[in-house]
Amino acid sequence: MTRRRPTEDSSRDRAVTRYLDEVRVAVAHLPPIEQHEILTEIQSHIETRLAESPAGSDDVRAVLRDLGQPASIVPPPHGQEHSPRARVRTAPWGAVLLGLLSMVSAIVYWPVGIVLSLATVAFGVISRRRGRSNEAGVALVLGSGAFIVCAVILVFLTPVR
Amino acid sequence: MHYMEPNGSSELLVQMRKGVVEYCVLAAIAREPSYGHEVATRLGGSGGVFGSLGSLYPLLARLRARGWIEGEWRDSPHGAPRRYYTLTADGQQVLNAFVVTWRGFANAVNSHIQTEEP
Repeated sequence: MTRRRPTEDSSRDRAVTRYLDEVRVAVAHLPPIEQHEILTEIQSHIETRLAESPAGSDDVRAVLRDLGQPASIVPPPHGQEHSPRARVRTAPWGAVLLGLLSMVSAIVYWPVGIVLSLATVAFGVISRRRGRSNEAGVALVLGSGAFIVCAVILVFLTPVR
Repeated sequence: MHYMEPNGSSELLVQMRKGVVEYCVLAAIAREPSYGHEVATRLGGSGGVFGSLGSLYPLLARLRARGWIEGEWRDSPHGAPRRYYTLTADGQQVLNAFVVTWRGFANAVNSHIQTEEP
């Protein structure tokens, strides 16, 4: 059996890690369970192929080449191509708008603010389940912020009788 | 009239793969429980039914999410544990329906193009 040098090991590991990182980006629009499955499977595939022919970093290149470019192994989100224009459409504008609306409502009229902030948080939870982490993050932060503002107004500014 | 570009055949292949690849994967798994790399090898590896081997794994995840296949992790004598896939009853029904439809469709297409060969 061929014994590999430590430098070959680290070069191999770096190439695999870089490839898996790129796959992680390519599958980011899929549901989290599918993301996890794909990454685990591809990692298992690479490890199996490398275990079958442990000769060095040349083999890593062959294995990764057979797998294909990370960006091309997963179809893009429906209706979104890899163009600058498509990337603009993926920005979480819906979450930003809803979050800002609930913030403003919380300050102007808290009952509406509570409803909108809860709707924003729900929107964030749904987005997270669908794997849209950017949108989910914005919605959850702005929604919970608006809810806290409403709670503060309700607790401190309501006159005690 | 539209004439095909020199790279037209590869574009045609991409479009054809899209329609049949998931059923080919179901057929490969129906033969016997298999892990991803086995399925890929059985289907001719990269450049056959698949454009690249990596596209198999998102496909397997989709088929599992639809309930057409199910996976079970097993230890491997070489390398990492492998996930072996089997067809579910729903997956078998889908495959049967595809086989019937495909045979009729392929016969119809063949009957149209057999006199058109260059």
